[in-house]
Amino acid sequence: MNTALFDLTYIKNTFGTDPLMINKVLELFLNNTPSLMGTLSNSILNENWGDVSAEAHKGKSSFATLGANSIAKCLSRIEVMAKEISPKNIDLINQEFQIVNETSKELYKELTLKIEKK
Amino acid sequence: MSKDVNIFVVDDDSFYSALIQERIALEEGYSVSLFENATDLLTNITETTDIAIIDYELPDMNGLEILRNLQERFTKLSCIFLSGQLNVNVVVEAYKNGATRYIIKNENALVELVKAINEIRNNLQLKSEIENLKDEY
Repeated sequence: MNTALFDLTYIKNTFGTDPLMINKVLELFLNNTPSLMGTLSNSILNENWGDVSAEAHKGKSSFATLGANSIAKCLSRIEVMAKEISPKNIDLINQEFQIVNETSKELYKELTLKIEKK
Repeated sequence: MSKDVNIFVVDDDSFYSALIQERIALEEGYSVSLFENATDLLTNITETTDIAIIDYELPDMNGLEILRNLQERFTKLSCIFLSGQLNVNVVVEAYKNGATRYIIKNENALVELVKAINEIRNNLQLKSEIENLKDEY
């Protein structure tokens, strides 16, 4: 099943349908979000669970804004689990983050292609 | 022509802050300054700031602490919460402490935000006109 990685309905409802404006928003996302995911990766690696929860919370709203809901839901689960840390939750956080990591890379590629097409 | 409405935004999510700035830039008559933490906002804010847009979860302080600080120092400032924090107690406390609006970061958030700041601007203009009339008579 090929599910769309993102949905620009929210962006279009908020900013209108001008392609230049849409591209500007996508560029803002690409300029800001990958570094946040890098920070989250480091926090998970270093087991800084307070930071993990805060960074997942931030990332969640960024991905949700782009309609990347599968990633936003993973980040939401990471945010909650990092607040109630246990050996089981550490495993689950790592599993969820692996999905976030792989899916977000695909998303960045698709968004970059979309910007270049315009 | 009236002066720009001066808006300060505090949100540690740089993408979301940038979105707020871009969306408000589509309207005329606003000047927006962005801050990533409470300390920077509280240090830089002055009497000339008309509206503060406050996220709840920040690295150095929560939104309610910021709101209390601002309400003590700036009686004319309008404070809008823009947050993913859904806890009813936080929403109630925000309104009790003088928040003008509490907007949840959902799919309507930025549209709601623009409506709210336009309402505040209209009120500011009305107050200014009343003050001018008082001065005339």
